Amino acid sequence: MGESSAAVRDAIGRLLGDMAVVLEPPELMAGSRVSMRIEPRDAEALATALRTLDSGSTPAIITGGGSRLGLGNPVRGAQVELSCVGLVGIDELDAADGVIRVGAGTPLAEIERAVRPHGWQLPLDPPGQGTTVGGTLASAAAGPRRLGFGAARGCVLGLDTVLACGDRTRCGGRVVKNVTGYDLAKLYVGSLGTLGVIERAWLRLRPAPRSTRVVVLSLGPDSDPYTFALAAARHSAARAVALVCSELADTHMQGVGHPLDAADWLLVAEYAGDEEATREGAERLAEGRAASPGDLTAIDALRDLQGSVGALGVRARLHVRPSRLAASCALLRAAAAQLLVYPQPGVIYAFFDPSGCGDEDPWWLDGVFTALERVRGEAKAELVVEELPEWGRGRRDVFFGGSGPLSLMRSIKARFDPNGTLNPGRFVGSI
Amino acid sequence: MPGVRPPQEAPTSRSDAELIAGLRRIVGNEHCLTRPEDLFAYGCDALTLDAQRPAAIVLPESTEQVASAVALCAYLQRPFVPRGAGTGLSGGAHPTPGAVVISLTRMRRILSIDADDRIAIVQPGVVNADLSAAVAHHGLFYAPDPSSQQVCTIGGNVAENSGGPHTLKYGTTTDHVIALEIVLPSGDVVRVGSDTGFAAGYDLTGVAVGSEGTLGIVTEVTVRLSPIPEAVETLLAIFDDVPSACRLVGRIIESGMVPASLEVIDRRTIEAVEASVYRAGLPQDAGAVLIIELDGAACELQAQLERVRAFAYEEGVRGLEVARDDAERARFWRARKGAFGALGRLAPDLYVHDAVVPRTKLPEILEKICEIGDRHRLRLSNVFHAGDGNLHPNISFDRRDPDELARVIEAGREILELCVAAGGVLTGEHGVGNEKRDYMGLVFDDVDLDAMRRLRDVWNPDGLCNPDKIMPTTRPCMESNPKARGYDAVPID
Ligand SMILES: Cc1cc2nc3c(=O)[nH]c(=O)nc-3n(C[C@H](O)[C@H](O)[C@H](O)COP(=O)(O)OP(=O)(O)OC[C@H]3O[C@@H](n4cnc5c(N)ncnc54)[C@H](O)[C@@H]3O)c2cc1C
Repeated sequence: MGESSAAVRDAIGRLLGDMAVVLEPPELMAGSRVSMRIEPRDAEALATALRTLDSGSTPAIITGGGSRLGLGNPVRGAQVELSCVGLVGIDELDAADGVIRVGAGTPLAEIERAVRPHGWQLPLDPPGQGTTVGGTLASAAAGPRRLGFGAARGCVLGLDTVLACGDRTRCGGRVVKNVTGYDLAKLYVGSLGTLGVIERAWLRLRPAPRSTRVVVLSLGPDSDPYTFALAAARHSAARAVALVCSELADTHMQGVGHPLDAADWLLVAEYAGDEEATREGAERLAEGRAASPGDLTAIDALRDLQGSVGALGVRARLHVRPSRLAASCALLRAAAAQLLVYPQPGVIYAFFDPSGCGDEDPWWLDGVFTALERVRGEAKAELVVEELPEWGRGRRDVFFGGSGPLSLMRSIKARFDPNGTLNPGRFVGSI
Repeated sequence: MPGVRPPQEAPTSRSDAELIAGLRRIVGNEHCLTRPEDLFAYGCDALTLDAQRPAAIVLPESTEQVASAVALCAYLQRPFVPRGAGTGLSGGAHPTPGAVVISLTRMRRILSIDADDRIAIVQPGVVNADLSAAVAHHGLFYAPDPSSQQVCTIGGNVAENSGGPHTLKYGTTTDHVIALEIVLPSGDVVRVGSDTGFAAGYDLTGVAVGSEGTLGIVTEVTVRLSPIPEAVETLLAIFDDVPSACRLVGRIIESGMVPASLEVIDRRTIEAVEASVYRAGLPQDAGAVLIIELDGAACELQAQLERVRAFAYEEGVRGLEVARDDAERARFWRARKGAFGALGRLAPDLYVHDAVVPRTKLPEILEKICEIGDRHRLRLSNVFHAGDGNLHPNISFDRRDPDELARVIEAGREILELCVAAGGVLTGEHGVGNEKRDYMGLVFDDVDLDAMRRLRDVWNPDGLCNPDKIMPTTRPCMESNPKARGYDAVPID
C-alpha cells in the first residue's frame, strides 16, 4: 500500500472499527494483493467505506460469498476487499404477495428455507456453496433450472445499491409490475460489481411446484441429441433439461443411477408443476426408450458439474441460438472440449482439460481461445470464459471484447464510478 | 396542467426554415409534414390534457433516414421526439414547442421470422397485433398484449415496457426483447443485446426498454416469440362487490396457480360497456366481474379449472361462466379490452390512470380511490390487472370545464399519493412521461434520481432526445422524503 492508501486504510479502521481487518500478510485475490478486508454490517457502514475508499482513490474488490471470484478479468491494483457477507438478513417476507426483501449477503439457501413453508421458491439456482444474493445478481448467475426460472434479472423487483461515491440509491420497488423511472436494476445485475454495490434486493418468488419428476436417459451415437433434448425442453412443464457428454457423465454423474453403457450423451430432464403435467412430460420423454426415474440429486449433480473446473482447466460458457447447437458442439468437440449443454435457451458449458500438456502451457491456452473464437465467428456464439488457470489470468479478455458498443459501456462506468474504485478492470474490455 | 392550446401559425422563423429544408432532403417532401393541422394532430398522444406545437413531423422509412434526421437535429441543437402510434397515456410522445416529431409508423416491416429459434426481427412501426398474426401459422405468438394492441407499435411498447392482461404469466415487454438497433441522440447507430439472449457487457437492452424514447430511437427490435398454449380456459366470475373479486384473486394466487390473466371490471365500467358497442352481456347489477384465464397443457387445465371453481363458490361468487368456445372467450374479452373505449363515450374526455400497489392492498385502496372520486364529484370507474396489483382508475370528464379539470388533476394526485403510501409506485405500464415526472419525488429521493440522470446523460448528453420526460422539474420536498420514510414499507393496519 502506498502512502495515501495507508492513510485510507487507517481512516477506514477508525470509522468502521471491527468491520475492517488488516490482512497480514496480504492475500492474493482475483489478480490483486489485498491488505485489508472490510465487512460492513449495514448500509451506512458500506456507504462510509465506499466514500472513504473513493475519496482516497483506493480501488476495492467487491465480493459476496466468494464463489464466483474467478469470474471476469483480473482486478487492477485493488488493495482492499469489500465483502458483502455481513449484509445479511430477511427484512420482510410478504407471503401473500410472494415477494421478499433481503440483504445482499444472505445465502440463497437461507432464503429458500424461509420461503418454502409458505409455498414459494426462490427462482435462482446457481452453483456454489454459500452463494449470496448479491453475488448471484452481480454475476447474473443461473443454474440448471434457467429454463424454468428464466434469467436472474427476471426476479429482481428493486435494488438498494451504494454507488462508489457512497450515495445510497434505490431503483424499482416491492411491487411486481413497475415502470417508474429508468430500470437501473437491469444495469446493476450482471455488472460484476463495477457500477455500484448491491446492498439489498426485493425479489419476486415463484409458487413451489405441486410435483416434480426427474428422468434420466442415455442417447446413443445414432440419435440427434440436440433435436431430442430441445423437444424435451419445450414441454410446458420442463424446468431443467441438460445433455452431458459421456466423459463428464462418467466422472460427475455416477450418482444419478442410470447405466451409461456405450452412450454418447446422458440426458437429464426435470419437470415441475401440476401432477398431470409432470407425468405427461416424463412419459412423453421416456416413450420407447430405456429411461430411469431420477431424483433431485441429478439436478444437484448438474449444478456441481456446471460450477466445476477439471484439473485447473478452462470453463467457457457459450450462448447460441438453439438451431446452432449442433454446429457449435461439433466445433467444440473437435477442439477436445467436454460439454454440458442446456438446449433451451441455448447455453453450452465447454470444459477444456490441460492434462497431457506441459505445466502452465501458454500454447495450450491460446489454442483454447482460438477454438472459442472460431465458434464465436462460425456459430455466432456469445461467450465468456468463466474459469481459467491462475497463471493464465490476464492474458486475454475473458469476455472476448464483449458485444455491443464498448464506448457506451465505458461512459457508463465513468459516470457511475469515475475514480475506478469498484472492481476496476474486471469487466468487459477491462472496464 | 394547462388546457389544450390551439395550433398557432405555421413555422416561419429562419432556423425553422433551415431545419425543415434539411429534413425534406432526408425523407422527401411528402414525408415531412408542416401544415397546421398536422402540427395539431401530432401535438399530443392519448394523454390529451396538454398539447404543444412541434416544428415538423418526419416519417422516415429506414434507419439511415432516422440517423440523418437525428444528426441534423443534433447539429441544429433542436429537440426531437420519437413517436409510434401515439396511443401512449403518459404524454411520452408529447413534443416540446418547436421539436421535431420523428414518427416511426412507416417502418413497419417484419424483417425476419425464425420459427425454430422462436425469434423475430421487426421494425419499430410494426403494429403489435400484426406480429402475432404473422407468426400464428407457426404456432407462435408475441406475448405482450396491451389492450391497444390493434394499433400500438412494437417501438412504442419497447419504449414504455408495455404490459397487458397476460403480463401476470408472460411478463412485460422487457422479458421478450433480446436485441435492439438504436439511433443514439448523436445520430450514431448502435446494436445492443444479441439474438442468443445474452450479450457480454452491461445490459443495455434492459435499460433501453422502458426508457420512454429518452435514450435514443429504436429502429429494429429482436423479440422472442412464445408457443401458443395447447389449451385455454376462460372464466367470467360475477360478484356483488369488488373486494369479493379481489379475495378470489388472492385465493388463486396463494394456491400456487399462475393464471394467464386475472382482470377485474367494476360496476361503473360494466354499465359503460353494456351501453356501448362492446356490449358483452354482463349483468348490470353486478358489483364486479373477474375474468380468469388459465392456459397451458391440456392435461392440467381441467384440474385447475375445478380448483378455481371451488374457490369461487367459497368466496360467494354470484355466477360463474366458462367460455365454451372461442366466440364466447372473445365476448368476455370484448368487455375488458373495450372498457376504455366504452368509458370514452361517457364524457368528452377520459383520464386513464395507472398505478400499482401490493396486490393484497387492492380492496382497501380501491375503496379509498372511489372515495376520492366521490369527494371531488367525479365519474370514476376501475378496470384493473388484479393479479399484479396494477390499477387503472378512469375519470370521465369535460376539460372545457376548468373547475372539473382542476378536480380531475387534484384527484389524480391524491390517488398517486395513496398508492405510494401503501408501498406502491406511480406507474405499472403506461410510463412516467411528462404526466407524472413531477411526482417522481414521491417514490425516489434526490440521490436516486441523480443515479438515473447519470444513465440518461451518457446516452442523451444534450437532452435533445425527448426532453421533459421521466425526470422531474421540481425537487422532492423534504417532509415526504421517500428514503426517510423507508420507501415501500407497508404500513401495518
Ligand atoms: C385504449 C388504450 C389501451 C391501452 N392499453 C394498454 C395496456 O393494456 N398496457 C399498456 O402497457 N399500455 C396500454 N396503453 C398505452 C399505450 O398503448 C402503450 O404505452 C403503447 O406501448 C404505446 O405505443 P405507441 O406505438 O402508441 O407509442 P407512442 O404513444 O407513440 O409513444 C410512446 C412512447 O414511446 C416512445 N417511442 C415510440 N416509438 C419509439 C421508438 N421507435 N424508439 C424510441 N422511442 C419510441 C415515444 O417517444 C413515447 O415516449 C393503452 C392505450 C390506449 C389508448
